[in-house]
Amino acid sequence: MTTLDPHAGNAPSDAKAPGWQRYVPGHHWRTADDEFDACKQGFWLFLATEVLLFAGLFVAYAIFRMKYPTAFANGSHLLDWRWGGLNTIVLLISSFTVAMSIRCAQLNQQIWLRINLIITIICAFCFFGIKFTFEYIPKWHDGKRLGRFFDYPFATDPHEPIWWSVYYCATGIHALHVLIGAGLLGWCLFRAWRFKAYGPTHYTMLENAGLYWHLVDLIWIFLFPLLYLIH
Amino acid sequence: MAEMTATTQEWDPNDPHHQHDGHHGHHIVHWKTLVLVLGALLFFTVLTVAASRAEIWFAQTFDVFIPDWVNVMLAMSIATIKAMMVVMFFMALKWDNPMNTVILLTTIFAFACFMGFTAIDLGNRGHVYDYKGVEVTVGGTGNDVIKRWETQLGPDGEPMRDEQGHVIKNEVVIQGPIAVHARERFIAAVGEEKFAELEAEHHHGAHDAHGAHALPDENHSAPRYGLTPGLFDAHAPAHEDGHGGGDHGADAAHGDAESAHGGAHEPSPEAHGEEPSGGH
Repeated sequence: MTTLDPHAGNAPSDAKAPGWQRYVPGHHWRTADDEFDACKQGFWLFLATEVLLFAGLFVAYAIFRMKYPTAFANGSHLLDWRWGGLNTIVLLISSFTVAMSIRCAQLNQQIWLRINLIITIICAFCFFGIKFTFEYIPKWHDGKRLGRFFDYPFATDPHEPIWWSVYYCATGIHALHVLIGAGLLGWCLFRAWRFKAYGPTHYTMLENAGLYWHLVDLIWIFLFPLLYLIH
Repeated sequence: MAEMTATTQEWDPNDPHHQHDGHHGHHIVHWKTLVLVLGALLFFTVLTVAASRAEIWFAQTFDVFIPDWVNVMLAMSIATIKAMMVVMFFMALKWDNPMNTVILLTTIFAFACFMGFTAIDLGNRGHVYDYKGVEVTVGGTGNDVIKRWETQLGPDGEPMRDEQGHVIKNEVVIQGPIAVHARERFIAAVGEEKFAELEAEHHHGAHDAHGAHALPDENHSAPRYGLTPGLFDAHAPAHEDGHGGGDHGADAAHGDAESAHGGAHEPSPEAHGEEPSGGH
């Protein structure tokens, strides 16, 4: 133990110890908790910017809907609420498993931590698969496309391309977040598997990846009724 | 629920009496809480879907039309409750540093300003000059857009291919709404008769089996902001024509232009015979 870095002495030097025990917080932090809290707060600030990114899309939705109600009613009826509902359930379950995986890390239940993360990642790909197989690809083929790509001959309102622009942008950016979230959680799973990197005293990365995943769920909670249910 | 905590460090020579310990370890959410929240979230998902189905069911079965705003308010309230549960329990803000809650609330406030001021602006432009109330931007329907890769449709409605099997693509400048262009192009390719047949089929299948057209126009949960069309015109207020959703596509744009034109002039006695809605 040195005066400059009092925490370094707490970590076991044994290379076989699990990663979370070997973790040493940055020497500029007074305590490991301080580091954790600061990281988390920084991540909340990032989440704020994410909310504002989606805010632009929600405002576009609201304004265009206000101006062109018929186009939005028509467009909404061309979406199938069953796929949207199924995807909602998939995301809610994955959000639950992420919360459970953080609990498992806090209690040092390494096996269940992995299982929960695996379920979450499977859910992410289910969401993605449903979205593309049953929604994007058939719709694009029908000519229900965004902006200038619009080519659907049975539209009854001249503003329907705007509906599709909002639909593709909102769900597309959301789907991108699903992909990024799955990537982050996949990285967490790898580190948990290989190094047992997350445990009671250290799980910052898992916590923040979890927060990101909950945000993805949060956005979908609003997108689902706005796009599929309100008509 | 059990108040379990994980202490992240023991004795710290820099802080021997834990004076600077902002909180006493991290809160571990009990699994029963998480299961309960998941159950509630799934329940509310079913509820919000049921509410939207019920509106259609009531209309078709009992001829009872629930006002459009009920559907919107219900769906948004349920979504807000669900979001609060996710934020409080899954994201654990309930037990977290309150500063993180402040960050989230500030963001929501910023969002409300963004939404509010934009809505006030764009929703009221028509109050001063009628024509500004019609479109957010001129060309929002796709007029004058250059379509670089427009396919050539065959008589079956599918894109035509050349000898090598490549789809034939042309560059086209869209005149008028792009939706009308798509329709006319399709009709030119397949013929009026086939188009009518396909359209009926398409609307029956795609519109979710319950039929969007079963509901009267007023019942679509589309909020209507601003003044009643024609409220301040000298003649009787415009009445909406009855045929639902059907074919007021091209007409609507035309009607908007007409009413904008009408609004720019003083209503004159000669204008009596005209329909401001332009629906007929």
